[in-house]
Amino acid sequence: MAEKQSLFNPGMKRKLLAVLRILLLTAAVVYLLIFISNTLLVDDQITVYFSTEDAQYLAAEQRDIIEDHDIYFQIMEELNKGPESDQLSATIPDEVELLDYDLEADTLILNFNLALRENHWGGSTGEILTIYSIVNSYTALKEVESVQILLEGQEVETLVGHLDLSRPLMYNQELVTDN
Amino acid sequence: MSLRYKVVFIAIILFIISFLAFGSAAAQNSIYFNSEDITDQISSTVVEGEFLIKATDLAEILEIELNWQPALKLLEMESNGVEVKLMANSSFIQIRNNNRNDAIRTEAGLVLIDNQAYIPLAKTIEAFGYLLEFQREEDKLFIFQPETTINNIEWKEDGNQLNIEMDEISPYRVLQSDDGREIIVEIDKAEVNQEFSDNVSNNNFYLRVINVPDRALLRLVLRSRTPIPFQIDGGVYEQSGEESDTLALSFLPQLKRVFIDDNNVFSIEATGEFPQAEIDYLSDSNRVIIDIPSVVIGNYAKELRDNPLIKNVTVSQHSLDPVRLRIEAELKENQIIQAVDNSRDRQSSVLSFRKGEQSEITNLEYAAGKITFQSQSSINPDTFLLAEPPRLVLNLFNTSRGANVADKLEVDDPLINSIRSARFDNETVRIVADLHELTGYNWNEEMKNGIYNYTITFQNKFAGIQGSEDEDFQNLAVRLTGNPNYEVRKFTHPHRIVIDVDNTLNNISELELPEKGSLIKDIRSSNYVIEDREVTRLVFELDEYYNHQVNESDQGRVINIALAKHDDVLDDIRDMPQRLIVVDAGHGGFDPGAIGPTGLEEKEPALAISLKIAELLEAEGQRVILTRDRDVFLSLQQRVNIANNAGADLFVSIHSNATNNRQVGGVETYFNHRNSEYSRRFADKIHDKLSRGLGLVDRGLKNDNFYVIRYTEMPSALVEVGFLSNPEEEERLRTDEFRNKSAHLIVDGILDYIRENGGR
Repeated sequence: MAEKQSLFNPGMKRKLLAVLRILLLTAAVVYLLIFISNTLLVDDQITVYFSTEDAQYLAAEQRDIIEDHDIYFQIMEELNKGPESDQLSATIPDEVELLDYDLEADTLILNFNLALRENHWGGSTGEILTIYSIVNSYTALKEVESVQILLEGQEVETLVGHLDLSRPLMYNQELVTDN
Repeated sequence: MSLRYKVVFIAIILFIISFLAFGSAAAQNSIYFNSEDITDQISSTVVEGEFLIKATDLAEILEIELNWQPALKLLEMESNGVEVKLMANSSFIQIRNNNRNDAIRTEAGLVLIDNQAYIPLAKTIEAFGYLLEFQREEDKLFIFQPETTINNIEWKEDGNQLNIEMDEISPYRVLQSDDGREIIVEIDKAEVNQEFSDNVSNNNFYLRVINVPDRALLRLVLRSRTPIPFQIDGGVYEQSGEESDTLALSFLPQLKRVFIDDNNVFSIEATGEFPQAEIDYLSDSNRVIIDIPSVVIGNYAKELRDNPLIKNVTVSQHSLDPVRLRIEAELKENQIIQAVDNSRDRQSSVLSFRKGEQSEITNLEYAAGKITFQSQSSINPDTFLLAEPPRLVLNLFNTSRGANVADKLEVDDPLINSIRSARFDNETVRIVADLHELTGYNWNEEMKNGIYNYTITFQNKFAGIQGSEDEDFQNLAVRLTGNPNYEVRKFTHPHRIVIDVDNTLNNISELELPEKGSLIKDIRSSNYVIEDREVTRLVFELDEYYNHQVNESDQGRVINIALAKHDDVLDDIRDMPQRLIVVDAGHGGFDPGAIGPTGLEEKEPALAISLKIAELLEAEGQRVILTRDRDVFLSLQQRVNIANNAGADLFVSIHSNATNNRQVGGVETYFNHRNSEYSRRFADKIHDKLSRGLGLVDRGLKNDNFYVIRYTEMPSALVEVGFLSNPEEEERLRTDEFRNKSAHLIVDGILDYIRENGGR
């Protein structure tokens, strides 16, 4: 009886429970910190650009990264799907497919099927918005500095007769607007 | 304390330990051998702060033969000819390597625990020639075998290059101390060949080789009395050989010799080629200062035998950033020296001077704010302004006056009263320009056919701005004190005429400005920088768009601008230059360009408008090349080649726009900023006409990376006349009326540009 009393001495028990609580709380905080640093700090969104309604600028929308899915293909899928906002317009013609890609140093080489040219509506403005919605979306990735566009594996002079696609293109700030 | 209580207490301790272990697994010391984690294969302990490893475990990992003599408590180890001995109760490690004996002191020495020998890990493996790296942040200890051996270090290229020969180049770093006297080359996982001997240390340099075992690298330290002429950027080269690789550090050339030869030629020689020196003759003290870039002082010889030319030479390292060596030669009385042009001998590691001859000053003249004269050799005059009375003085050292130079030139213009010249002393001619008031000036030398032409340009000022008006014209006359270069341009939105004048003081505030008249709203002035050139900008704000014409009078001192009050008056007086203009109809052949909702293909109106433009330009006396005059495909490259090969003056490409939104419409004109500043102006002229005359939305003058305007080598523009994707604009593009109107407006813009810029 005396032993039992000493073991379950209410004062002692309270102290032990307090210690255990503090330990559990500390553990919880540490796990939370690890969780935050592993997940929230990593950029889990991509930026895709679409045309403004007046076809003067490009504006950005954010998309969640799909886990276990190739981010480069996902960007093109999002561009194909078009904007969520009804203030913006799609820039990619029907049936365009990204066939494959290759990152050489910081230049991203994107190989498209011919639909990018054949289904394109033409025009300088149309060409600029299509090409730079692609270029700006991919150069938003931190590992990509410039983008070279190929059609069915071939280097091309231009898409529809205006822009110079013989060299890699960089992010175009002048075209981007906030709204 | 009761047993049960202890159980609870231990459970808590275990919980804490397991939590800590989980939270920071890296807190444990891990040991890697050749990148393999061997922490679990070894028993270890720490005694007196030193990390000890069980001898048998170490022997197994490093494949060392081990012999324990219990009576002596002596541990003998042998591997690859290296013998290492440790004794219990002694803190020394004895090493026998190639008949050389050595001993390393440790803290703990050999310690017996449970009848097993534990030995200091770091010192033991160092004795066997292994390398250690301790990554403190991660508490990881790495043991390596050396991956490369340094076989030789030697000077090459006359001391301008240090070659480090090694089996293969492993990662390295080259560092320079702040005072520049020490270069440190750190080579990872390297050891030095046992037969290595120091061939590098000499009068100038001292080499130390330091093994840094706890970072697994070898440090080569090269010290010098003087700053080492090494350039960290671009000074290191790697060369791969068949048997070994070489890391080469290249150094800047050093001064080798300053001497006078038997022909009394004074020469400065460096250990390598150096860039052009800057030579300054000081007329007052009979001294010459020679500044040589990218050469360091080094251990040079001075050989000035008895000579008639030079009294003394002092050498100093004038600066290290940038590297610049200064040699001051003090000449003997009445002596002068002249640089010998040895560029033909390609011996650019030597700079020589011979006894100089006086050169004659000829053709001293003055015109419109510029004093000019000639000399047979390059001179460096001492120029200064004096205030009372205001004058500019030029002392031309080492010259005499030619026969055609008069004592006094009467000038009498707004800047200068007169110019006087005189022999100042035996070596010096002095030129004095008497000024009305102190004025800034520039000095310029130009060599032509072996004769040096000198120009002193006085800074101009505005002498007055006058306005006058008649039925047809508002006239403006801007009078300057000289005839500087200037440029007159017209801008729109808001409408204004801008005059950019070079080399002219902005004294507009001191002048009385003309009555503004009926056309001019305001007159402003500012200082402006265009393409690194500082100009004074005069702006006449206009209340409407007027044609204008520019001419000059009084030897370029007066800029006259006539603003036409009616559209027709300037047609009579203008003198339009003829230019070659390439008109490029977009698309064609199998490339229809954009296609409208009812099927109009861009290539068709583009060709029609282009043909009309050509017709109108030819009627105005201009020469035109059409890239296509029928429905045929041309690549963008072919279009560019046509213009470039023809040496065209202007290029304009005609298109119609499209986008995937049918609501969008309007007119755009593109230029490419890489092409030239003139492309923007050219496109602006065309866009100004189109945006105001066509009745479509003005979508702006734009800069983009279009192929045909990027690669053409002349001012070029790409015009987008309306949107084919917009149903209303498609209908308009079908009509001859709209096509002709577009062509007229584009031609007006082109002619405007030619009129104002001369069209180039």
